[in-house]
Amino acid sequence: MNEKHTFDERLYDRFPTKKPGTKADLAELEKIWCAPKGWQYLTAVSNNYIGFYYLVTAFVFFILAGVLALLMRVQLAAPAQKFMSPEVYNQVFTMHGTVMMFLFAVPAVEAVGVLLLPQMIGARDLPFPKMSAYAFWIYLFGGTAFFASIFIGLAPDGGWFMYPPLTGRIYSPGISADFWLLGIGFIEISAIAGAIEFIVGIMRTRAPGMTLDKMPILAWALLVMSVMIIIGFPSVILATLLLELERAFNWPFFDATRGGDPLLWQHLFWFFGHPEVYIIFLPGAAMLTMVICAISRSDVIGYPLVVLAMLATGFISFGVWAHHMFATGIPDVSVGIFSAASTAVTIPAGTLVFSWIATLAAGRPNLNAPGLFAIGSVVVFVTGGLTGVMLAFVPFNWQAHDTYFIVAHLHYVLFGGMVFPLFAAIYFWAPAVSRYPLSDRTGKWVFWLMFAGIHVTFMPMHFAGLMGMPRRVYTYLPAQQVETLNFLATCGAFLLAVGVGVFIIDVIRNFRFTAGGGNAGNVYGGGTMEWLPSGLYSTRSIPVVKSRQPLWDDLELSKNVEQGRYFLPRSATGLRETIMTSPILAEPQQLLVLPGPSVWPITAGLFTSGFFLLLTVQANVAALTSGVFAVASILIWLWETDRPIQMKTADIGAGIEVPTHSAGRLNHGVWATFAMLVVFAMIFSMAVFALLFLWTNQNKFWINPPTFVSSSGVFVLGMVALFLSIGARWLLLKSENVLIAVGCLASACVLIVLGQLFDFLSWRQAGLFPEASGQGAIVYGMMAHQASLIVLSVIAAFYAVARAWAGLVTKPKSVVVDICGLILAYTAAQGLAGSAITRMLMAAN
Amino acid sequence: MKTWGYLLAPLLVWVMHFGSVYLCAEFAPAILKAIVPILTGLGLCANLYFFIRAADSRSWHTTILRRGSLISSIAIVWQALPIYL
Amino acid sequence: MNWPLVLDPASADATQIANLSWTLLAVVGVVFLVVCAALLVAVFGSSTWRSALAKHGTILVAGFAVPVVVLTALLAYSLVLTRTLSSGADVPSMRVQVTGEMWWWRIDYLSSDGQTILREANELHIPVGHTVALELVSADVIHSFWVPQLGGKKDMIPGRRNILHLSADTPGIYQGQCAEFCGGPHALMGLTVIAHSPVDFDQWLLRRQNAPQPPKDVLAQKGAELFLTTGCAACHVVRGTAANGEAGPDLTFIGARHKLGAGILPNNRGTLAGWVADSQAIKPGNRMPRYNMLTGEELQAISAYLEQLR
Repeated sequence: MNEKHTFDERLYDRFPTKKPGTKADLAELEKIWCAPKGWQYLTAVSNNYIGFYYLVTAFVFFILAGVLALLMRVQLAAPAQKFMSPEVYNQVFTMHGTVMMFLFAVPAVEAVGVLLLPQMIGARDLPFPKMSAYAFWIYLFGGTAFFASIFIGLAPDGGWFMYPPLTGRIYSPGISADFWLLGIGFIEISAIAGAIEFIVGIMRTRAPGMTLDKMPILAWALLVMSVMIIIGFPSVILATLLLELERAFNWPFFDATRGGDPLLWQHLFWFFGHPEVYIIFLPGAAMLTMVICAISRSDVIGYPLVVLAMLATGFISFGVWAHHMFATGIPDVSVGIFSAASTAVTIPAGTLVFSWIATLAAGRPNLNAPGLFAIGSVVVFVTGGLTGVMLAFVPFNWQAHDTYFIVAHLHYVLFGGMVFPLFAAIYFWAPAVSRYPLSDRTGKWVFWLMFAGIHVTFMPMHFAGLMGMPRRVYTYLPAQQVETLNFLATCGAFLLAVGVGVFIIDVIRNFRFTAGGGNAGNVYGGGTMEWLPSGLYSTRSIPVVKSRQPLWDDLELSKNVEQGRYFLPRSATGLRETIMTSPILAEPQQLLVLPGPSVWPITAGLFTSGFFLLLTVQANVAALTSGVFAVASILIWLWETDRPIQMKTADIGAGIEVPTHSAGRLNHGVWATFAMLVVFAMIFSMAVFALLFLWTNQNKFWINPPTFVSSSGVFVLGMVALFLSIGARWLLLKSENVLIAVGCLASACVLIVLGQLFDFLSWRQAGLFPEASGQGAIVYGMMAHQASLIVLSVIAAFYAVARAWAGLVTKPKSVVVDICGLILAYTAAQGLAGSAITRMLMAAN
Repeated sequence: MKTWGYLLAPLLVWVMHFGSVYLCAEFAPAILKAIVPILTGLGLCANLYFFIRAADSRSWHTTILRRGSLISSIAIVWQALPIYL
Repeated sequence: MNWPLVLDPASADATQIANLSWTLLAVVGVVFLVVCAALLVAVFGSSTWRSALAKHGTILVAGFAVPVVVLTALLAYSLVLTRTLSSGADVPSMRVQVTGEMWWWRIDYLSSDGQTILREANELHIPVGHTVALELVSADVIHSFWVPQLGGKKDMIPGRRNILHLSADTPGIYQGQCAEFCGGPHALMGLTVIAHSPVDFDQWLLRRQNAPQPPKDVLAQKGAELFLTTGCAACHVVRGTAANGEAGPDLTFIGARHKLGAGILPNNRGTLAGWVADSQAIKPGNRMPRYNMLTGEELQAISAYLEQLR
């Protein structure tokens, strides 16, 4: 390990302490973390509640999208049926895919993370509880409104992949496509918020001693997933933004007649879309790994290999997007490059599978309900993975692409890689959040019904695809001779549904939610920390972690933790808190004070959803009002979260003192801001890709940009703004004068606005207009993205000024100045880069 | 940081190799054939270096570095195949 | 049930892809069996077997080394095949432009300098043993040209012209279908490829370049009149008559086609009448309006006229 020690490791030897924690301390913890009553369930922010709400909502969407699937299977049970018109069917299949991907799969894995991660890594809560609450509420409101569009016949019908020109204004007039673009666009905000939370939580709030190599596999998977989300999701955010601009204002990003390119959408969409599959799969694989460890009573065999496999999958998955585009006529060499990368991504998957087999073999696996689901997932996932390998090979792909072979492949992968692991996880972890475990006997029934259902449904689809049946068809003809296969698939789908139905009955009969004490306990004998006895405050004290399966390796651990013989056996400040540790060695660095219940996340969620949904129906004034309320709610929440703490240091147990506050690189808010800026930088990079793509492919529509000389004002203003926003922090440190620092930030903000204005004017002067060509669209599109960052900068500068006004900016270091400075500096830098790059691409002679 | 270097270095080699080969194929196909051997050679050298660096230690992150450089090497060789086959 | 079309190739290219498919299926099948066997041993096996599986080395060999070897071989095979298929060993002897339209195919046989020598719809005729260069374009949204027995698919994208080389080994009729979701009745956008012997093909092409004879029987003559007066001619071309609408498929030789409605219905007087009267019931959402205001006799006349356009 190469991180510098900042903490004397010998201090760990003070634990478990001789003296147990007192009754009074426990009572105080219980009071601070008390359960909500009545309406307070809406203002709860603790991960115990939000995680549960999240999971239930995701599961409801799973059921709803599943019902849509059954409707499709009824329509396809026999050839040339009229159960649904193509109009309805196209909406149904679009909604099935969209809801399963965006409203079930990603939220479900995030939900499992929110619910289990803090306890698993020994934190009392996630580092930004209000943000998890906000992420949940926008997901709930937005998702519900989005799904409701199908009841009024306005659901999007262009497929979950939304290829233009079919989804453009000519071929999809009306607002159904806007529902998709705006609805999904902001549900992604929820996913990104969750991802940032996980990154900071995993890196900074692990229990003392939990070095990287002792992290539970699920924490690793959530970390990789979160990084993938902040790298991958920006691409689809940009894509939806561009298509919405094209639809609303006629900017031709994807219109080939005016210098746009329909293939640009496909690149942007799949750069997100394929990693998305692994974003879902990695946490699934990790849940599977943890369940397999527990049922076979063995630590993971080949832990470093599993970690490497997950990291490698995360990386390589960003090099495979064009295998969705092999048939589009992209050049041979590109096709080959993506074929090779798609082959490479199967190697880590192979390693994972054999590590599961090795772990199973290392113990004597118990074939209980989680065990069956885990072993079943391996079989199903391997089947889907192997057909996936076949599809990596281009000539076969040319035949199988967009046929039912793909439908079969992707459902095997998603069932084996995500749904079955989730069911294994639900049976395995239900006792941690319920008074009674789910019935193991019923669980076995559920497993066999679903397992049979999957094969009967999806196995025949492979053959239907090879018989020549394309995907996304609302019917087929008797002459195609696929009716037997389709009838079988329909039967299988109902078998699967019966399995899910039995599961729901099991949940209704046995599941009794309890966030605090009184849960069923460690029924399946897991060895990780979420199985420590716990209450609403999480564990009574936070143990020093010495191995990957601490409960197996230290049989006294549960008892000692419960007696408060470890870290933080009481609340040091009288507030909710957890220990902040260093990113690699997990040495205690700071006491992190956490916020409690608040009404602002839910109002912010409500108004954010209002903003986007009102935009969809083109009630622009109402939308703007709603947006202002959303921003106001968020600002109030930030204001009340960022409270001054009188104690400079606090005792976190056994006489160990750590600070209660930090600024700069140590601060968790700065970490989160960095992660957020990565998101913006990715949106920007994808926009640059779009610019280059249109420039190379549609160059004949290009005009010469304004020269650097004529627009030198843009660059001068930008540079000065950049220096001012970076300098604010330094000036505060040197002069200890809040006014100067905040003044720098405010003037940087003004300069950025002016610079943008100049940029805009110089392009207009050069004769470029957004409706005119692909160049116009993308250049003004980049300006629109810059403008949205400028709005954020203005809000940040306003917040900094207000904090200074209220005398709440600390000196010589201030988190407010750090974070606002970062945002402003990034905005200035992005503005400079954007203005420069767009001016370097010349028209062809 | 160094730990992260151990965990990610070979994968970053893969990313840089993939990125430059792809961007070259997309935006400058004329020089692709000349440039790929250099890129692949550089990548292999980097991975070899990582492998040797990690050869004398058996801790968990050097294991990752060794295996990672293997995966990365195979993947970049595969990446170069389509340009010549 | 028939043999899967992908594995029942009728052209040199499709045969090579079928061979690759068989190879892949075999490899994948063996791997699947090995993994299942390993799982069974891991769960139920004797302790010696299980401890052999539970080793770091086993993971490295079975989960890493073996896949690398197998996949390298397959990757090389597939890359070489990709190159062979798309570079096209044979020089094409004919150019045909196929335009994807919402929900049918416009087919233009081109001369070597790119002039249209014959316009047809929904049915592509090719000579056996010759390679035809298809120039795939789109008039509206993205479509995809796919005839499984003759080879892989290729997309038709607005603003691009993709080339697909097509050939057939034996004379016959091959079914194809649009493979990229194109909205509405995408499911019913079928295509027929008919491969003739080279001699038959040349005769066919010659015959088709002339307009058909004017109708002889009275009913068909009445149909011809109705065709021009009721609105059909606004969207359809019948060469040699005043019908010159370009929006819909060319109907000059509609009577000779195997299928109606873009590869979905058998072609006879009854189906012709049914299609004209209410194509929306057959192919909901297609661009042709209902003509259910026509009387039974008028429909009979029009279908008699169309049927003899051969």
